[in-house]
Amino acid sequence: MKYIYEPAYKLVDLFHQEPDKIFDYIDAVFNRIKSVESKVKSYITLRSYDSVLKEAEEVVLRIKKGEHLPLAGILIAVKDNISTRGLRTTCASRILENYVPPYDATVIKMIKEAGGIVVGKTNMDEFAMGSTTENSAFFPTHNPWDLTRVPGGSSGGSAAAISAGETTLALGSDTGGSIRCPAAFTATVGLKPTYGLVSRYGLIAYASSLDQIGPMARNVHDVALLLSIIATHDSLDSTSIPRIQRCNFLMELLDTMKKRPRLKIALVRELWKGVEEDVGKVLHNVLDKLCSEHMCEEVSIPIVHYALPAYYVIAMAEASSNLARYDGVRYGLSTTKEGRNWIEVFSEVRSKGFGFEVKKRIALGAFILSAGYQEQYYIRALKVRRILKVEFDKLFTKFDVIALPTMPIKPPRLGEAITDPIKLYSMDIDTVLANMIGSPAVSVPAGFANALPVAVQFMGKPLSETTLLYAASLIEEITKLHDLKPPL
Amino acid sequence: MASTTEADVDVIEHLERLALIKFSQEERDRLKKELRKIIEFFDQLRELGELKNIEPLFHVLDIESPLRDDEPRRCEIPQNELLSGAEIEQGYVKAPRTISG
Amino acid sequence: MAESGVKIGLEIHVQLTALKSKLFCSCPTDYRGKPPNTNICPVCLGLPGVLPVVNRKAIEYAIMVALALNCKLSNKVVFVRKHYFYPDLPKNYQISQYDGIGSTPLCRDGYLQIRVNGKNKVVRIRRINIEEDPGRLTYPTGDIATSRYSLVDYNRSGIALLEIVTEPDIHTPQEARAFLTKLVSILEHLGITDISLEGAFRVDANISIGGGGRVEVKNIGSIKDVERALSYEILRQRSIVAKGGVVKRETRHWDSSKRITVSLRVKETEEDYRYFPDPDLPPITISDELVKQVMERMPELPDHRIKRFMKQYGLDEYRATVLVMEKWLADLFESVAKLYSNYKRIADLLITDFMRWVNEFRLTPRDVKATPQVLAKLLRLLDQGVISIKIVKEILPEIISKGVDPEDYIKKKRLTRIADEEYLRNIVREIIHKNRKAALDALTNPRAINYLIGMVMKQTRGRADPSITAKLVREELARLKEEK
Repeated sequence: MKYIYEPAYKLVDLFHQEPDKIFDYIDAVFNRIKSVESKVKSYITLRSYDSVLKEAEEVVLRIKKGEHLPLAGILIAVKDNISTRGLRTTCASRILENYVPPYDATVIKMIKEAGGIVVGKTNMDEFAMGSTTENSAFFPTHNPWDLTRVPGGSSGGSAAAISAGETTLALGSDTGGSIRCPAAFTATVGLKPTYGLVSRYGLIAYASSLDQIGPMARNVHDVALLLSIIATHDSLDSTSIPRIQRCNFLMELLDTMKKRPRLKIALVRELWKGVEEDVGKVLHNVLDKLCSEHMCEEVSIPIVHYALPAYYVIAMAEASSNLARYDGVRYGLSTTKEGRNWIEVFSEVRSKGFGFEVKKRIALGAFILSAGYQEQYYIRALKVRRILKVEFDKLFTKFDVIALPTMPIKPPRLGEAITDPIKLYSMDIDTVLANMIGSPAVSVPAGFANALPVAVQFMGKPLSETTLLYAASLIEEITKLHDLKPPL
Repeated sequence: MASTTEADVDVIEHLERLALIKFSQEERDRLKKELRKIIEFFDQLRELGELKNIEPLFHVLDIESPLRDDEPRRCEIPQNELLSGAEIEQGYVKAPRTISG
Repeated sequence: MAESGVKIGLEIHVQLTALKSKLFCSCPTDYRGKPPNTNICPVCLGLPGVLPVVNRKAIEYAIMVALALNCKLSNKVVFVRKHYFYPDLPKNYQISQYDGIGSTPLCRDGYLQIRVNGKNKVVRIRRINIEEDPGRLTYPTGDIATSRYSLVDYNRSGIALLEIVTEPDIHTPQEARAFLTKLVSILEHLGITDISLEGAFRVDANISIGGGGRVEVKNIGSIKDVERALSYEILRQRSIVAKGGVVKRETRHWDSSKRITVSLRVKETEEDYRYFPDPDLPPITISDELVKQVMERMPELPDHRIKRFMKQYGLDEYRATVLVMEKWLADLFESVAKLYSNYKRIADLLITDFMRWVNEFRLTPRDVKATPQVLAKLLRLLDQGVISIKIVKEILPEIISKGVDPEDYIKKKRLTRIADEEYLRNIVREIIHKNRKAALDALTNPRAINYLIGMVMKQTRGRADPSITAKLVREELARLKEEK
């Protein structure tokens, strides 16, 4: 068990002193994968031990040459919607089952440069559409805390892999909570960065105006470490925030922890509706402790009620556009073309390649954007988005962060959640807000209800990541819950 | 009731054409049920009225698209890697017929 | 009745061929003649996960065109996604521009003044969009109908296009030609496109007669073909109306080899393109400063150049206009004018015989081998009496197609004019001697002189200088008279 639940920031220090320990570490993680993967099923594609070892050798060489590598030898699981050159990237969809990207996403380049090693590609809801990872076209992933339950989604594979000790760090993507939801359900930490902080180049789009790649780990420090590596301006992404220099979030976090500024925390009443009783109890318990040292105030923002339908309208509209390109001509699932009309061929490929939920969202998205309905749904949703943005901008002039549940419920049992679409969508009620207004948000374990993980979420104004990491660290201090090992 | 069902079928067929997606009969039955629920869910937005004076928010960030200098750079990725998933015939990518019949 | 109003609106697609890279990626633009799919990258192939980045120069060029066509510029550039499935479209949406909620074309409400049959006419420009070109489809048998599949070359995918849309202000094919000729001349003067490149210039024409359905003729590749397609379409639609039929609203395809339009599809409803602003591309502000910068770099435009030609070279409006409407011809004129100062003579040479041969040989400006130096030399040789106008006309095609030097040519072919009086006088004497009767006749009948001159010409195979010959014949006849 040595190395497996060690924080990355400590391993990095160790590996700079004793680089050859990287090999022992890799052995340990691969052994762990061997023993638990069949139960958890985190990975769609796992790299071979040999190819990982070869890459590790290069990292060791670089360290021995005197390079300082902020992710020296650390294994990183990558959600299967982030492009990796030469490594199959499926989006958990039949339509991309055999797709091998010819290029690396910008975040992957950054990770490699920093000495990190991709260990495999993790399971997810198909094209990130879902909150349980049951919508994977291949298989569902199981929650390491209770194998009969879902790990959350859509980055469920990444969260499960971290939680089960099958990797040290992971990348997820978050369109409406897809990092924070599985982080919450697996008692890990996940951060959705400010829109534009992390390059989307190479992230296979679900809803472009909402998508962000973000770091996932077993503790807040590791999340800060990985965020420092991937948060960088990218000239290949026109929505990348122009920033002159890189920010070391881990240093900033440690600095802030020393200064311990008093936070002004808002509790938005509408965001606490529908929270399961035992979940609410855990959260209040933790927040009461936090509020004894910091200033907390309850506020009301009624428009929040409309964030969820507005979110789904926008996400489906953009999805229908982003997923139009899958037609079997240039890549992905294909079928006989000779002697057949293109409309017939495209329809066949798309019908066979996409699962029901994806097809449904594409069809609904096309409907939302079509003449006669666009104003009624799409434009109106964007107006709600404007109101939300204005309201929360105002709120953030008075408060540093908003504290709210990540998930209003405990992780559902497999098969339990996917019967009623609206119930399923309602799981995202507390997470979509950050995506709608482009804010950063972090989920951190708050405790357990009925032996199942419960998490608190902090949301802040754009580029307030350090403040959020600070707030999350305060929770870690209160709960002492970090680097948790589930009873696998 | 019957007319609504027919309307649903019309809508589904229209969407199938628009998005080039076909639903199986089983999927259609499920879709019909869910579609109505989801549209109702979306229709909550109508409670807010016209929102006449509100500008829709398309881009959450207040930034401009950066502009790239007009400097050509040939892509260094080999063609067989770029088009590894395509059917290639004499360098061309094979596609279906573009007329029916 | 059949004569009721013809309404023509044009949609012109022009590639910004002066750009060095594509609109949203850095792939080069020199794709012509390259093997298929060798000018591609993840972005222009629309691979999963890629994002577009806008070429600055494309925006600047588009603003230039907007200013040149008197358009009202939008205060921002907004790109939208236009959705339609087609095998040549990598993302199954095209990044384009649109007039809708949250989006705007680059500019709108412009106009272009043209001159047709001596009358001025204004054609309004509805809007101008920047958009990306799709890939190119070819067919294994060469024919769309008999091929069992199609083949795609993405080399062209992502090339920057301008879409210029007019109001239906055009009423005849001649007006369409005049409009397009001037438009192209403007675009060429701006230095943003070379329409002689294959596929760089494509026109869709919307045409309706009376209350008939609007027919869209797609993909016409040249100004001449636009004129032909419109003439054909007017005839076709009129004959339908004459037979008591109704013209259907449809999309037709121009078959340039058969010179007819063929029905592609009948339009029942407007296509639903589901436009919305591309979330991958935030808007770009068109600041006053940017407009000022572009304006300062605006080259001379045709209208101004015509006036300058009239003033600087003393040309009449007709000659000045004909030259300027073909930018390369106007450039050639000015280059020759630096070397040779009888400007009217240059203009006449260029717009008559020169252009006739260029057209005859079907040459693009790039293929024309005549240099300004050679043309100036040719005109000088004519002035000096070394060659006659007849010989100018004989050499010109050689100069245009092969770039031959007129001096070398006439030396080789012995085409110099004979101006040697001694030599000619001998010939004249010989002719008078041999044709005594005609010579005597010529003493009283001046017309007979021409006969004698003609005989000299015949003997010298046209190389005798006509005026010297005439002078010598008169002198010799006078001597004959004295002798008598």
